[in-house]
Amino acid sequence: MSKTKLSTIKDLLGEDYVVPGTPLCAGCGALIILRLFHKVLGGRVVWVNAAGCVTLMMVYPFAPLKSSWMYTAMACAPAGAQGIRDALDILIEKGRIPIEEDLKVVVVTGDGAANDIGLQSTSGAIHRGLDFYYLCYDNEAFGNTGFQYSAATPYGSRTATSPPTPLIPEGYRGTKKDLFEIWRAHKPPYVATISPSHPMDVVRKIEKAEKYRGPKLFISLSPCQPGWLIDTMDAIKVAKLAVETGVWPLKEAVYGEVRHTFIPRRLKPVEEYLKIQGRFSHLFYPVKRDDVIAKIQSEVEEYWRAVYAREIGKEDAGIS
Amino acid sequence: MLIYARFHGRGGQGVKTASRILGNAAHFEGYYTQDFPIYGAERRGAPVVAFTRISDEPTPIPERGYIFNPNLIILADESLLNDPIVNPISGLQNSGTLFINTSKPVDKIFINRDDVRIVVEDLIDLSLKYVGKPVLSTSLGAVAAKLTGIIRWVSLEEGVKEELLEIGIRGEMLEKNILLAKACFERVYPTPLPIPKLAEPRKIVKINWMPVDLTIPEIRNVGNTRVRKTGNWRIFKPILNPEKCTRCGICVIYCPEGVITMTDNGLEIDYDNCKGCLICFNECPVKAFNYIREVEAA
Ligand SMILES: Cc1ncc(C[n+]2csc(CCOP(=O)(O)OP(=O)(O)O)c2C)c(N)n1
Ligand code: SF4
Ligand code: SF4
Ligand code: SF4
Ligand SMILES: [Mg+2]
Repeated sequence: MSKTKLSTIKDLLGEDYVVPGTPLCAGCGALIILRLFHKVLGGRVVWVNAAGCVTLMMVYPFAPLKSSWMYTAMACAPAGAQGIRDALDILIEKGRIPIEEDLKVVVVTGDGAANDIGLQSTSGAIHRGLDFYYLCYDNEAFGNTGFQYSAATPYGSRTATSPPTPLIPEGYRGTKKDLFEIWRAHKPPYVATISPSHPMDVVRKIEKAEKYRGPKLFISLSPCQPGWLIDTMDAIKVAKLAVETGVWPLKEAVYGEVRHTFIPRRLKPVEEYLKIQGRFSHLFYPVKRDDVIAKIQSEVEEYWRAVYAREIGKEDAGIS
Repeated sequence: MLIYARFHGRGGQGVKTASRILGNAAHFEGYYTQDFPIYGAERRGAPVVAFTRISDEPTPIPERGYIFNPNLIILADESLLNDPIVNPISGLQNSGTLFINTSKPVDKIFINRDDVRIVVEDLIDLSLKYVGKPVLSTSLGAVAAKLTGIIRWVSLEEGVKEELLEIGIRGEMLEKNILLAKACFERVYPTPLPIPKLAEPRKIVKINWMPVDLTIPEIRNVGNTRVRKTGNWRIFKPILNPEKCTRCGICVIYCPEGVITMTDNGLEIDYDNCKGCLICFNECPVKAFNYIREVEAA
């Protein structure tokens, strides 16, 4: 499957495999990343999806995809992917379909399915070395059912089930599960984090992943307008800030070896990212919660100190 | 007196909150009340429905479930008026009231009923003026409360406060919303509403067993959502200035809907499906996009 290399945005303006008219929210970050992912993978794809917002793209009798799609129960999209991969392999082996008609098997789920309900079936599939892609669009909550907290919800976020109250004024008290590290611990050929705000980073990562047989796993930050309480026009702006403040590192791991693909020269204060999102507004009003903001800032800095030390040899390189 | 109110609008306009504000106001007035939305698959911008039942009688409201025969309909978005799927005026009782949020005068509104009262106001304009956002929860709730004819301003004010505090709106923003509610409350006047028809008792439908391959839906038509024309979700319409555009392609990649196409003659925007999120406007590095408020449905 040779393809010409995509080296600038202009190379990405060709055929689109997701047509307009989906029922997803105006300004949905998940749709931006899904469209881009599909563009880079090409049209010969079968998606396997567990319940979440993206499922709503398929509302009988409508489908926005030019490719194939199968819906599974929430816990078992990677098991569904195994079934399809096996079926394709057998059909090819028996000569029932030519090898050129092979499809890439791509699981797409939200963070709830990836971190909570579907984690064991993903672990099984990675462990078996299943040849598939996984795209987790991380909107940091159970979006489809009304934005309840998930294991991917960050500390301090308001969700439907972690509202700021007089007793718990900071909102969500837990911490975000480190799905990248959990997946990486299996030492799959490829695992990466991506963001819709950095399309060429996404392109380079998919192109790199394509060279490997086995699990190729992606976690994309996915700004969610009604859940994050942001303006419909701000999905990309928020995603950029997540990267520039260091809240959402862009990185990859090949067989477990980590490398950051974007290292901020100077981290912007996390406050810039938090303050434009309504889900964090209780940290700024009626009283500014400097303690909570400082805690978030120091966790980000702790992470980056290690990265700066390891990857550029100077621990406080980007920390003011 | 029974008020059976049905709200139609688009996800994100505040229809659900409006139905709750009305419910709260009625509750503070001392009435029995129910309010609830349809929990559905559709999203921000997509058509949504919510309901409020109010009774000033001494016994609780006997009915549950959707309202099929309302005596008051609150339509948040005029572009839905003649949408055959939404059909917002279906079941409206003879001599009931239909409120439409529109910038048009009432004589420019056409429906195939002459037995109902139509009330119009440009609530987007009022909301932009008072709170700076095109969100209609407060204004719709206030108009609805007034049109019931049985809710006083004090109860509405309480209702707005309780609802908005619950969703995290406080301080100056809350005060602005109260002023908006007051302005809306004073703008419309009620006429007596007809007595709603109670629903017939439900029949139980028996569904026979079917083999699994018949009950799993399969869609063989690929890429057909285009015909759904999500262009009527728009509140703002992006307008390109082709002179400024450098054809860098950034908006093509960032547009969630994929409605911007690069052609040999520059960009083409499919307004039939553009949802008006304005990411193109926000992200264009040379500010080649501007936007205008959408007044006519796409
Ligand atoms: C086993 C199971 N539990 C609960 C649900 C209900 N459900 C449907 S979508 C959803 C939210 C999924 O969250 P996430 O995976 O983060 O995707 P998002 O909705 O955020 O896109 C839930 C809980 C379900 N379908 N199956
Ligand atoms: S709720 Fe969030 S993730 Fe779901 S469709 Fe809307 S913007 Fe997208
Ligand atoms: S982002 Fe701006 S300059 Fe670039 S193609 Fe779009 S409109 Fe033209
Ligand atoms: S407003 Fe712009 S970015 Fe949003 S759907 Fe329309 S064309 Fe696309
Ligand atoms: Mg989610």
